[in-house]
Amino acid sequence: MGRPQRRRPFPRSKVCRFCADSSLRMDYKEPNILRVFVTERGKIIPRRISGNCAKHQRQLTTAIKRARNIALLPFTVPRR
Amino acid sequence: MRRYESVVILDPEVPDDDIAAFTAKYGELIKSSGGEIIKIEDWGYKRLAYLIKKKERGRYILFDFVGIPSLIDELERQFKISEDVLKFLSVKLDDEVDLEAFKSKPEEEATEPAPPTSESPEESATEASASTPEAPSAESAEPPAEAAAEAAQPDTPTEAPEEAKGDAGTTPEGTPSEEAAPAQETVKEGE
Repeated sequence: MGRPQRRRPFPRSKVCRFCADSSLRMDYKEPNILRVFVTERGKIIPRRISGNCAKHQRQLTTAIKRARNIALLPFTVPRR
Repeated sequence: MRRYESVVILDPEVPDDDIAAFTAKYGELIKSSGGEIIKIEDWGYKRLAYLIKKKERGRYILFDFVGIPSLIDELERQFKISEDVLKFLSVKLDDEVDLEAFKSKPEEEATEPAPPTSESPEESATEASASTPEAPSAESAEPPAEAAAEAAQPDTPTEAPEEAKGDAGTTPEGTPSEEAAPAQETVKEGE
């Protein structure tokens, strides 16, 4: 019963959220904002899914990496 | 002169008196090298995302200051020596800072340096940090689509990704955001 098209285009948010909302600050000291852009396992969500623009994604990765360094975000979340 | 920011994680067992002594000591160090402190913030105790020196919690102190590059070397050297410091991170916020501007009007320091380099992200973000709550409740309160889907997904089909990689392969990370029919997907995958 295989439907031929199994890879349907995932619904991606079209606009960069940092561009759309200038009040949304990207800062390594704000783990609660950064946490939205990280998977449950602690990986950074790729741009093609989060919809961020290149500029903000770049800033985001550095912010997340800094936050990891000072233990505000995990490097990994181990499986139970 | 450059503007820097150092976040220091201290041992949670250090008493408050020592914290005060600690900030005073490093404030003195910064000043003695010709720098200037813009602000020192105490974020209080926070839960660490991972263990550092087998500690689950840490006390966060933020130093925001202006100084010369060699000051950072000295500061970090002393942080390394100190037993109380679990970890630290120093970030350069701005390359060229007019020290006099901070000295003359210390009240406006948070807003003042924004105009010259609006490109720098950390620059403008500094003043917002104090209000960060400890509880991660905001994460569940952030509803936007892909984040919610991301959060909801991994519980149910934990074994799905491996299978998906096996035959569908192309978009391993693509799966989380399709909130419509993750269950069907797995069933189909299994057959």
